[in-house]
Amino acid sequence: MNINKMLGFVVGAVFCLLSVTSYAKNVDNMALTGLKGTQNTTFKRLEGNYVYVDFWASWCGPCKKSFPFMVELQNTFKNDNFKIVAISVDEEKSDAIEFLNNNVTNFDLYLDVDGVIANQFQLPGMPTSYLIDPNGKIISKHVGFHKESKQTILAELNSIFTK
Amino acid sequence: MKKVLICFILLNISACTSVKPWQKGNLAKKEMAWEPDGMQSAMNSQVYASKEASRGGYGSAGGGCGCN
Repeated sequence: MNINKMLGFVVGAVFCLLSVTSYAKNVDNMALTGLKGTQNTTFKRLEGNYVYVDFWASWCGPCKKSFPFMVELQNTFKNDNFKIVAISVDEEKSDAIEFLNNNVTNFDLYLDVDGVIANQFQLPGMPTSYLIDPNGKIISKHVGFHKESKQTILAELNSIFTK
Repeated sequence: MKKVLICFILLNISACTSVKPWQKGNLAKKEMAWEPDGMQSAMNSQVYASKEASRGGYGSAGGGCGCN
């Protein structure tokens, strides 16, 4: 591999790293519109906790499957500084409400009708979840929801909270 | 050079755009699927095969939210 290709690779890697961390900085003051009894807030106010941000939608089948898992996660780590933030990207609030009426939740729910927050995170797919540390830095990202996703996410959280 | 410039301009005025993953709600609707009713589709295929004494030559991919 010649030096130019190596240099290009290093620059690309640095750029990717910076762009992931810059998303967390850019969303700090972004408003989160509460849904179904959740108060409006901002990402900045969530600092100090490990935050599991999950983007979902009523039309997304895998999202529906992920909800019982998120309920389980919140119950498992409720005594730790861990919060789940589930953000709906439904364009109609009524669709999100109807979905929530048919699914049990025990975590904070928010709405991003215009996709402003989704666009800031540049979601690669649906659903997508991010684990953010107390300083607001994204630790990991999970695209889609599969059987393997549960084990991976649980392992990550266990490694953080059972140190 | 002129050809490159023309290609560049044509590409940029194109009406094509990419749909973001969080904007695919409409694509996930039942009516957007090629075959919204699986059982109806199976029955139609069976009737067609019976009448034509042949089967196949149909089917396509597309639609859906692209989730997972």
